[in-house]
Amino acid sequence: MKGVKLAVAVGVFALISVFLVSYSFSAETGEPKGKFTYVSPSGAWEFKQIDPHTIVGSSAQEPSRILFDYLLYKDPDGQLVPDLAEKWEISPDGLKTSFYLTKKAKFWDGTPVTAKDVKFSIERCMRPELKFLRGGQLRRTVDRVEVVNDYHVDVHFKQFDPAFIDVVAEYLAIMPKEYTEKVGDDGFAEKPMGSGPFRLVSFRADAEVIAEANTNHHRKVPYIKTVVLKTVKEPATRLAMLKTGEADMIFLFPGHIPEVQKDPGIKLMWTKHAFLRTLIYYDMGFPDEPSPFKDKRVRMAVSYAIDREALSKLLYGAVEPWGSFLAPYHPGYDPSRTPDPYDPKKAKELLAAAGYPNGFDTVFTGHITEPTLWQATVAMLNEVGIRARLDMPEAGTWARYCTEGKFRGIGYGAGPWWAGRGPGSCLEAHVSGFWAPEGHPYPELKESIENLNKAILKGPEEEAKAARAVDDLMLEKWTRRPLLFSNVVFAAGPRVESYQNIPGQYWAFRLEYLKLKQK
Amino acid sequence: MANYILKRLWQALICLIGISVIIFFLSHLSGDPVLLMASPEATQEDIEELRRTLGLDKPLYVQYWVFISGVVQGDFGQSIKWSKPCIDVWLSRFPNTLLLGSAAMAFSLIVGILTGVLSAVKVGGWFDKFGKIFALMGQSLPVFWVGLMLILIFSVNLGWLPTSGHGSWKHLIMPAFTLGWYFTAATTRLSRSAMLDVLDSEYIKMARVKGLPEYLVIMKHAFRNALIPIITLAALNLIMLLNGTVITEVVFNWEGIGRLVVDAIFARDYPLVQCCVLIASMLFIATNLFVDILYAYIDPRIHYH
Amino acid sequence: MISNDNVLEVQDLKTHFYTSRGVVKAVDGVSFALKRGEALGLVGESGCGKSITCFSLIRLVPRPAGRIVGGKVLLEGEDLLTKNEKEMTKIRGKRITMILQDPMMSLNPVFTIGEQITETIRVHQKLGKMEIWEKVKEMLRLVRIPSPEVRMREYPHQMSGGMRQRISGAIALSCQPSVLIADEATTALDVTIQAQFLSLFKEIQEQANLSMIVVTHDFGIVARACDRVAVMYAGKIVENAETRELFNNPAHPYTIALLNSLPKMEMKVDTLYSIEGQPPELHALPPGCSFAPRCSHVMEICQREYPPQKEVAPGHFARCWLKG
Repeated sequence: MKGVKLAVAVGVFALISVFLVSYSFSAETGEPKGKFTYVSPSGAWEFKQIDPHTIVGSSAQEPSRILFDYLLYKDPDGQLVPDLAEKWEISPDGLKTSFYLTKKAKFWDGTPVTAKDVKFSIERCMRPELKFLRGGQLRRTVDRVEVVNDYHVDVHFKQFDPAFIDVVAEYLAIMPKEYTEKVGDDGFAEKPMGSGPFRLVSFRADAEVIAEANTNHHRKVPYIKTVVLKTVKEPATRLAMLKTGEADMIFLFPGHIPEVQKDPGIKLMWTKHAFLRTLIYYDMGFPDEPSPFKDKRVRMAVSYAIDREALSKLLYGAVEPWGSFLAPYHPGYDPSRTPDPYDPKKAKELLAAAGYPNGFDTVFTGHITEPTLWQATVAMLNEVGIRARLDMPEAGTWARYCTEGKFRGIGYGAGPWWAGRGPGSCLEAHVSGFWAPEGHPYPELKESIENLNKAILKGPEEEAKAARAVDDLMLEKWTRRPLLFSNVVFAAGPRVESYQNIPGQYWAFRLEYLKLKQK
Repeated sequence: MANYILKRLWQALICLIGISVIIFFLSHLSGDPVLLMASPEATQEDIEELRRTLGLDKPLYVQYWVFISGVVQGDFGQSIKWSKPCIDVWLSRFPNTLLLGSAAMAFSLIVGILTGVLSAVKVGGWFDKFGKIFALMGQSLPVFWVGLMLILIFSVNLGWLPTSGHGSWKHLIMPAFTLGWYFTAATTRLSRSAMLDVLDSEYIKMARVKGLPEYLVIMKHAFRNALIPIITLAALNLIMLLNGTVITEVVFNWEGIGRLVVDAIFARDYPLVQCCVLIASMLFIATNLFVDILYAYIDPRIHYH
Repeated sequence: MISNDNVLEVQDLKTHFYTSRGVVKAVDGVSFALKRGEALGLVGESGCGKSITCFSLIRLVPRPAGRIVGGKVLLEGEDLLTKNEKEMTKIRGKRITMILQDPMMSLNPVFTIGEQITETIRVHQKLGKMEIWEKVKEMLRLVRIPSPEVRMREYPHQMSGGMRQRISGAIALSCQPSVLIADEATTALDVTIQAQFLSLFKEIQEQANLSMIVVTHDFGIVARACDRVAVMYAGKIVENAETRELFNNPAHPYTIALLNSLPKMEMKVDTLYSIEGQPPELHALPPGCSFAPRCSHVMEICQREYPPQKEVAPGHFARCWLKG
């Protein structure tokens, strides 16, 4: 009897130790563990289900970024690093970009990711039906995609496209050719297949996406096992979820920052320099109409009238004063370009010198999602005599104003919110195109932007010089003035140990790098 | 009775056609969805092409005809935003709103009628006073504030209930209460005044004179008569509940119709807006008709020719 | 057949209403007796307290404003004012019953009349379903409602006013009460229907030896239906006599004035006689006799003290200083 009891005791002890050892081992070997819940106003696809190429609005990209791989991605310093493409080369004339793919990447069903999948994805992105979406713009510049061998793809261009690499890094998810062709678009929407660090478990449109770690990922096997992305539109509810532990990380409404700062269990995480807000002088787009803003002194007066520091404090640091059209991660960024100072006295002097000693009436078009910011701005303008009336149309009306050219007076520059891109596309976006309705670029400005695009091919130093030149010209003569840079803030609960976000990328994550504290 | 129903159905049809015209033209006046759907780099011709694909370039009356002939066949069009038939989108969300609405309605009816009747029976007493305050609060406190306060107290501070979303019966309690409180107020006030009115009647006096015990006087004679106005209100409330759940749905992240419609309006998703509003109108008319028929059973004085 | 024992004796009944304007003495020391088989008329102007007196008998005074503050109500010897509510519900509708004034509204519109009679019987008597059914039909026949089986399933709004009052009567009689109070029961009926109703109830009363209190402001009804009549003014009974005696020898100036204001067929007048002045505000009664301000025979003592009850002839009582 005694012997049996001893044997049992030893057996149990052995079992327990084996269990403990293997448990600690698994923690060390990095097997994915734990569940992480992230809540944002749009953590799940709002629009067309899962097809990553048809997404409109960068917010809906959040799930795509974890389910699919891209040719390149950005590291925490905002620099391009390899993902599916181990190496890439741009030809000296800019008309060809070559991607050399890693051999290690596999889709969730085990089939390898090869050049034909890349060609398929790029061409799919460029489908005629998607002409009006971002990928579709590639049609204008891309001539053809060539599979050189299983792991080498060349993209041939009709003209150099400085934005191409950014589109690739941010937007061009790689989808499996055979699988997608077999199940069709609708079948793919029901049951997608990617090669990303997480694999899809389930989703409910505009509500929730649940994904699990992909243990075969070529670049990084995630630390966390299950990810839940939830959509909750009401900011106060999101905060409540964070406090009760229902959410581990949320997209925070800046107004809640003081509340969060009081709570020791919650930390703030900033993504800096997501998009640049500018002052726009719309009247300059109408050369035949007289306007006070045609005089540079008036334009400077507007800028001096605004206390950027105060606005920054008003939003608890969610915006910071800025004085250049470039961001710190752009080559050519010059920190000595400080923001215009707050000098209401000078503003009044300039107005008087320009012939408006008693000020004048005008309209300020702000964005409806930030009434506090624009109300404060308009109040500051009124202080110096620029009697601006605040107009905040909602999204649909704003879009209509754009096409009908209804903007007048002063406005808030709406972007670009793809500021994480290279200087070429960023600067150009302030100058012309859909979001710059007042844009009639001066010939010298057009020329200097073309120089910049050419300089990108010549290397980072040339690029920096050319970018600085454009920045100078715009600061001197353009219809806009830099105002504030927006920083995006997330709030994370006590379970989150570390997280890497990418400067300039408003929504994108690298959840495979997110670590939870082990209990 | 059958004649009456037929006549009402015919009227309902005319009503719905009128509504469909109004909705259609109103939503198209509000703005252009194409711009919201295009990416910022789209050129003008790209936008025009998108417009053509969606059929939005045709004259309004043609678009209306396409819409209405579809509806007759059960096809409410394709949602621009969801790329799915509108009816599918609606069906996927409606059960949630129905659940929330029914729970809120049940809560408001039970609490409202009980409170109102008891207040009327003990008019001027402490219960009456309490009932009045409860009702007043329900009607004046903003719904979103109530919702957020409940979350703060019961989820964040006490940790008894989940903050939002759905899944278990626990998820239903706070949203149902938030949504129902407003209607509880209305129901309480109506029950109370209906009861008071009835309690003043001669037949109630008669019932007492006959020697009926007080509980019979109240529950059988008084309540049965007070029920008539209460039921009308309840039916109208149900439709208002089902359609007016937006704020509660946003605060509690409830995947229902209210939020769906508002998002659709902001996104200028005409087909979805039209579908939702048209269906809501149908439900409203159907409920009205149902209540009128129910009347004939509850109130013998009403006779339909 | 009027026997000599009193089925109902009311002694010094007082019912007051407490309002914001003061205390309204609606019933201020009312005393009368009702013999078995007798029909007593209770007449007076609107607001003199006739209805409240009747409701006080069965303790259905509107609360919380109204309260019975004194007196005795002896029903076959038992004082109803000492009973609790549970006991009272057993008495109402069974031993004392009432028919109310408004035929339109005194029946519940959502229940069939069969149900409304049935429930009265059910509450007071333990009878089987079939027995109740038969009883209901019997009652309907008693009040001369044709085709009772059909009518039982109908609703009040499907009947005429006269029929509805007869149904109220059926309800009142269904449990063989000792006292039936008719509170202005015929006021809302057409004159011809009134006559029918009265003769019917006279017949029933004689057959069942039923005691009745007939509340009315119409002396014609008193003449036809009542053996005895009590005249009320401002919460008190000012005169009480057999009907014939009252008509022939009215003692109280108010009664005389009332009888004089009845238009007579033979008279040809330019203006009808009416009593000068207004009935008094019941919360601010003058000291002394309440009728003094309007009395053409008023004396100094009338304004000081309320006259006590005096027997001015055998069985004929009045409260007036004129009579000593």
